[in-house]
Amino acid sequence: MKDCVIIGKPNVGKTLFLVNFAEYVGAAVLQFERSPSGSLYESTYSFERARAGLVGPNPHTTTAVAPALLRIRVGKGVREFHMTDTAGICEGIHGDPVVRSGMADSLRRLRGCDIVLHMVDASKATSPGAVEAVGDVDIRIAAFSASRAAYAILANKMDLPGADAGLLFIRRLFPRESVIPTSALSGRGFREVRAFIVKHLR
Amino acid sequence: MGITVCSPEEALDMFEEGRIPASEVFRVLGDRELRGTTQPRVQAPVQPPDPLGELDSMIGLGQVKDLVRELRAFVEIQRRRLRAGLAAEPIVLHMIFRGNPGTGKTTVARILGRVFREMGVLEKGHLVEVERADLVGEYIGHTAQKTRDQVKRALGGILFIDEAYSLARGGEKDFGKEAIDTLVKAMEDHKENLVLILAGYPDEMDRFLWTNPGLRSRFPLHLDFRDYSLAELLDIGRMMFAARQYRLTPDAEEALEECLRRSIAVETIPANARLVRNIVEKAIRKQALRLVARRELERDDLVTITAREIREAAGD
Repeated sequence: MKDCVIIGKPNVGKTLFLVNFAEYVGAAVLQFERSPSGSLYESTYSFERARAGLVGPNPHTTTAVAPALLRIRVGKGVREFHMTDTAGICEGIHGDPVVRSGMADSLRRLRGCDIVLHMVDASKATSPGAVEAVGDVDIRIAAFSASRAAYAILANKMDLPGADAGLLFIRRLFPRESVIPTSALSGRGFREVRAFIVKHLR
Repeated sequence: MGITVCSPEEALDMFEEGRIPASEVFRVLGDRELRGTTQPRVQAPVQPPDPLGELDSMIGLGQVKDLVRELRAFVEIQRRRLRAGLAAEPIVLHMIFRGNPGTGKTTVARILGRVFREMGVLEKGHLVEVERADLVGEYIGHTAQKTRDQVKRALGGILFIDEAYSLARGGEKDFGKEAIDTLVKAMEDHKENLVLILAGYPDEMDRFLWTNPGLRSRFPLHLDFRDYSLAELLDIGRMMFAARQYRLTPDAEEALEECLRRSIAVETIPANARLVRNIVEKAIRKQALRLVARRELERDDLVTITAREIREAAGD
């Protein structure tokens, strides 16, 4: 089964995107596969419980790789694939071994996946010092992924002020990649992301 | 970092243990997996992997090599400044190449295209080589259209105009002027995605830029391609033979040096790489002619070029 990994810095909105996107494509519940690193998750969540329990305002809320099983209707058929939420990758070395272990698993997952959704926070793209700011890790993710998997950058949090300028900055920094403006909160860009995934599922 | 990491798995473990940052993991992953066993899903066009290495392997061209390195560093640092939220200089890479024919201008331009593509400055990095006849038309309005067509072909790469000074020939009424104006406009319109290189003889290029001050200010980079010295020309000759899997006898080497020395002394336009290539290619044909009548041929015969063939090649 094809694996679509959402990767990026901590607190850019990866988990909320997964939950709301799964709901958008018409899943009834969020169904996680057992995580390879000893699951921190129950296997099935209602969307309300997922938003309340898995999503948080602080960085490093997600500390394990969590593949969810999604089905997308394409024409008359249905395509199944894994959409995998990952632990945010920070610059430098993080002090918490649990966080580090989650990040390492995320990178392992990234190595083998078929579709990479690289999420960045457009509203804080250029905020110096912010954990969400676009930085070296993002450049590395882009350079690593673009050559070996279907790759798109999701410029997330487009609902927040300052995101337009951030989007411009991201487009300039990654002139050769496709950048999709999204808001995991409002659902903006979901249609484009869905089309991108469908295109690369065959 | 000071730590040598052997495999991606080890790098990931070290990352997990908090000994290296994620960026270091990506460095190892990139190094290993780009040419590793997992085949890339997107096939890159087949090309020698390292354009800078190719430039380095060219003989002579000291100043040109330095400038290319300087440019690379400049682009990289401007990009990092941008990343750090600092003001960045606009990257203007239009160039003037001054040098006699056969001093490596086209070859360097082609390599530059690939260097710029690798740096992400140019989308495609291809080279479109044109001259006056490709740009200048025969009636009013024709020139602008022709020039725009060539610019369009070159978008994402380099437009290389050989003997660019000929655009200014013929004075005010000549259509060459229209071509220049169209080019200047194109440079403004496509400054993100087009590099323009004007090339030609040093003296003519100087005069050309002198009479078109508007052009001069738009080309911040000037590269001088020196004539090759006798020793450099000899090296070029040896490399050309070696690349084609031929070998010179000691006598042939002497003969080659003698021929090159003579043509440097005689020619008004200094000898250059093109002259060497002509000798090399002719010598190869002469050798074939010598061997074709023989019934038995050793591997040695097939690769050896003698003094006689060099002299014949340089003679006609």
